[in-house]
Amino acid sequence: MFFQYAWRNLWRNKRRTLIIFFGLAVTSAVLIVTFSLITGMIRQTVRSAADVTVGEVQIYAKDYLNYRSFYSILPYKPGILSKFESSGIGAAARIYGYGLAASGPKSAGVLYWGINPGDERESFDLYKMLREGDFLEDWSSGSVILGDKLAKSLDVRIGSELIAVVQAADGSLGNELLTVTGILQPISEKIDREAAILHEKDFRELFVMESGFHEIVLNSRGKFSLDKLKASAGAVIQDAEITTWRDVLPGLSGMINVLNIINWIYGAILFLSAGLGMINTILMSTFDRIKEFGVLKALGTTPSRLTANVVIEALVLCLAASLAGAAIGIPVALHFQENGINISYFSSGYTFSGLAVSPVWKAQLGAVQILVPLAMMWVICSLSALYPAFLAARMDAVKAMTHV
Amino acid sequence: MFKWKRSLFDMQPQIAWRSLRRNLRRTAITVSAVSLGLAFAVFYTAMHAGVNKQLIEQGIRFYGGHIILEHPQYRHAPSVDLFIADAEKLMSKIQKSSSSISASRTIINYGMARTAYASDGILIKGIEPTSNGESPFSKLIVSGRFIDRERGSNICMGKKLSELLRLGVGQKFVLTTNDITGTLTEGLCRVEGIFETGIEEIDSRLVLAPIGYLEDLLMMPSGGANQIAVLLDDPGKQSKVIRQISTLLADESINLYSWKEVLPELASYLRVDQAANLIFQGILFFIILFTIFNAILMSVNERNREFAVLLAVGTPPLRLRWQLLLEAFYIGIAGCLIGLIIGGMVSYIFQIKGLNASFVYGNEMSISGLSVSPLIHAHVTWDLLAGLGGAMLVLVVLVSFVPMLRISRISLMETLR
Amino acid sequence: MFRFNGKKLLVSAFAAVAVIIILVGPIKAIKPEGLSDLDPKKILNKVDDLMRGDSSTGKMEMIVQTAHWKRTLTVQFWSKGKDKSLLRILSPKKERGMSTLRAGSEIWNYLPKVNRVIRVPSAMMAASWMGSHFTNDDLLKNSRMADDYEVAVTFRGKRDSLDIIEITCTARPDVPVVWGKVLVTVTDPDHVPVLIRYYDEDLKPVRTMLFTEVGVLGGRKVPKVIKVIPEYKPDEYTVVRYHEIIFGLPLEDDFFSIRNLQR
Repeated sequence: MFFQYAWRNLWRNKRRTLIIFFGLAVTSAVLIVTFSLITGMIRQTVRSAADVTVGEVQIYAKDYLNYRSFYSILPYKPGILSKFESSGIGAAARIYGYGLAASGPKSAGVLYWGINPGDERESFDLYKMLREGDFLEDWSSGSVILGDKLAKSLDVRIGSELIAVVQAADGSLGNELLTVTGILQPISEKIDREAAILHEKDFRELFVMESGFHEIVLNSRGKFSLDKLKASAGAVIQDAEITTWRDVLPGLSGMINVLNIINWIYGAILFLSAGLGMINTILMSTFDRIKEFGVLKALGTTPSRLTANVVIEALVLCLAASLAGAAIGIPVALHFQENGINISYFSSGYTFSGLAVSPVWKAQLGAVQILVPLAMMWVICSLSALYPAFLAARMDAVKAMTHV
Repeated sequence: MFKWKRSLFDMQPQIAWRSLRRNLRRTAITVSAVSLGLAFAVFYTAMHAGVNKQLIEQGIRFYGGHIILEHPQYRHAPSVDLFIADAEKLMSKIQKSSSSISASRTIINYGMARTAYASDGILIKGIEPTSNGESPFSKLIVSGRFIDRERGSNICMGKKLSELLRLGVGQKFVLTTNDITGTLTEGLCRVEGIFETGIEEIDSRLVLAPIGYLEDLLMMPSGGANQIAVLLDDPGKQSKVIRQISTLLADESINLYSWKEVLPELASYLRVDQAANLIFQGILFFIILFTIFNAILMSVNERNREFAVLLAVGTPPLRLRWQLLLEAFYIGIAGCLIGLIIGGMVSYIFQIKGLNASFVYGNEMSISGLSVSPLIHAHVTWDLLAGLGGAMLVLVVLVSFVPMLRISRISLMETLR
Repeated sequence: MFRFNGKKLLVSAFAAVAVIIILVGPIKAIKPEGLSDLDPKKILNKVDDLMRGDSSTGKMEMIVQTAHWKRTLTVQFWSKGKDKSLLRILSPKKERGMSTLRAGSEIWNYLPKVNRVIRVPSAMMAASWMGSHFTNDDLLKNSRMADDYEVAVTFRGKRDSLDIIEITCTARPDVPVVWGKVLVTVTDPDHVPVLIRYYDEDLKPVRTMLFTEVGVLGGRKVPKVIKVIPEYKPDEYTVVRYHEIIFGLPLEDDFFSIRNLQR
């Protein structure tokens, strides 16, 4: 009954209703899209760090992080990685060693990585980050993938030969011939300048390192919280040092905090501005009908009923408008989620806290990005209808009827 | 024509004013929507401008100057033997050409620093310590003192480098490098001071030496330099100064770069930041204007009858449109003024006091290799205020056009039924 | 009675002179050579040139002990003048054929396993040679201690039942050396090195070289064993034992070429 009455009332003054309707709809749509864009930017920044190589949680031997000594190895037992994977946590193990890479007359100090390409492909995005060439095969083949700046300073191309010379674990001079099969995009300053990535087998042969790992990285792609991941790590491997991406990339962590705060402040301001406008229009329309309310009161409608009626009207309108707004906003946000806004027109590449920023800014649409703007719209609508309704309900019927 | 025009100005302003006053609450709310949105836009832009200004200043001070002059092949493949031979002469010519610029020269080379315990690759820069006012590094000394002589082999180095080499103030190390003929040469240096910039690349690699010392060690002709850096008192005059200097260089093969070419990553970030800013401001303005549009539309709607009557008795529609425009204009002016005052004042307070955001990101955040200080100062300029305020005002007025058109479409028949 | 006895006077005179000669002569002979008689610079140059000649070749064995491993290499070497040398590893099998060439101020390594020659970048000059406690730089060193330091003899006598001379070299203020002080101990009087100890600027010992098993190689009296101990890693050391040396071998300059490196 309430609903019918509300609906009919709305249509009585078509123009007014439509005006408010459009206002609410457009505002909802814009808010959904904006929220999605900002959320997308935040997520992208975190994921770009964690998903590429850093992971969400990292595990090291107790004193590895102090001096990064080649000999600080994790007590590794076979099957450790599958323990994580069976809980839905992606995991990869890596080994590192410094050495020399020479190509023709040029040489450079590099950090060699030994990785398992299969594990990396499953749980991390490094394999997608090539600007030229291909990622490592699942078998050892003497291939190496170089960081962007490193490849430039050694002046190599795909197919170029690279001589690796290192101090092996047994003290001998390890040396191998490698072929450059891939060159990475800019990822982070460290990787760009010194990363030379090998298959784990090739690394072990070069460095005469039979077993053990320096690092195990976990990535649940956002599924689990950092605390849960740390706990899982501690349960599987005892007596190790466990860190999160926030510890390893403090600058990025700081930036995420900034973006989150900006998100909320910005959202708040948008709502306030939109809200003020909406309050205005709804107030106006409600006050216009004070005469009406007077008549209703005179006819015996209780004040509470009157208030309820007005609020329901506002909510119905709000609901309809927000559905319309969502109908516009969601597709637009999805478009930006798929295609993103390409800012490479403006930028040729820069870094935030050492990490290269993707030139494509993608939105992220989720339940939160839809419901939060809509919920706030509803709250504003009800509040802005409550005030005049309350006034009208308390007004003397005669006064109301004769209100000008 | 004359009479008609005059009468437009005659009554309409007061009528517009009065109709706004009639519904004071609505007017107030509309005005506050404008002012709140504008105030935030001003504050947001000013804070961003402050951060960017700090980044630019840092970039310019640490990596050169507003304008950099180099040997034509230097940028592509930096090597100490690509130098400007008569840099000092050129510098004095440049400084004579304008009073608000200062020029300094630098010799740059890569080398190795060796101590009894360790060795590491370094970037060594020979600087003129006494010119160019204070070097930014002199304020970042954490132990010892900054170098202040043009000769002598006492140097300053970054903190991380000193830790790696296990060096304290007063201790020595051997510098190995190539001179301009490519011959390996060695020198003994002593640490006069240690600085900390917070930028890892600088703190772990950079050694600053008196330029005279490097001239001798590298066999560089006296007065030569790998880079001449020009600092401007007023960055706004950059293009003018570039033109001036270009004419001075007309017959010499020396390349000139603005800081944007020397720090492309920073320039990139600034462009993107500006684009993102525009997008966000655009959205904000859109929402505000839309609600104002709504408000004006509503007010026209409820005055349908009134307008219909006025039109029926012969009022030219133009007059009514003009009234609407004035109403929008008044709302705009009021909103803009209040918004600018609030936004401007709040921004100014943060310009003076700064906002300490260390609880948010501590000391660690960096953009393109330049560290972002946790103490943010806003940067408010008249340009900023005029720009945003003006834009808002114009848009508010424009927004009234659509409702205006409605006036002529009021069907007298229907409305006056 | 005053009677001039000529004969008696003459005998007394002779006797007096004889006494004087007998007494003073041996005193002169007995008086020990003072420290001021020694030329420390000459001694240091001798030490510097000990293993150099105009040219030399030979074989040595190198044992390296670090915190994580212990290895033994046999190395054949050739050197000429101050700036040319070639080292070739003979064993173990894994490194057989690896060679290092020093010509002028550049160092090259030949890696037989990959059949490539690489130039050692100046950044690696301070890096260890083949994992030992000798640096690439040590192989090149052509400086003379006498030139770079203020030298003075600070002790001469017996120490650990050996007659030695100790020379203290203090770094000159503007000469590019990383050490604050170097203590050189040689035998007396052959001037064969016994110990060289390097100190940092704060006069803390950083590195010690011990020379033992003095014998004759290639016609010269040389210490056959050199041990290098880093003072801040006392469990580690490198020991070099010379098995044969031939001095004065005629070696052409172009023997020290990259082509020869790969043979």
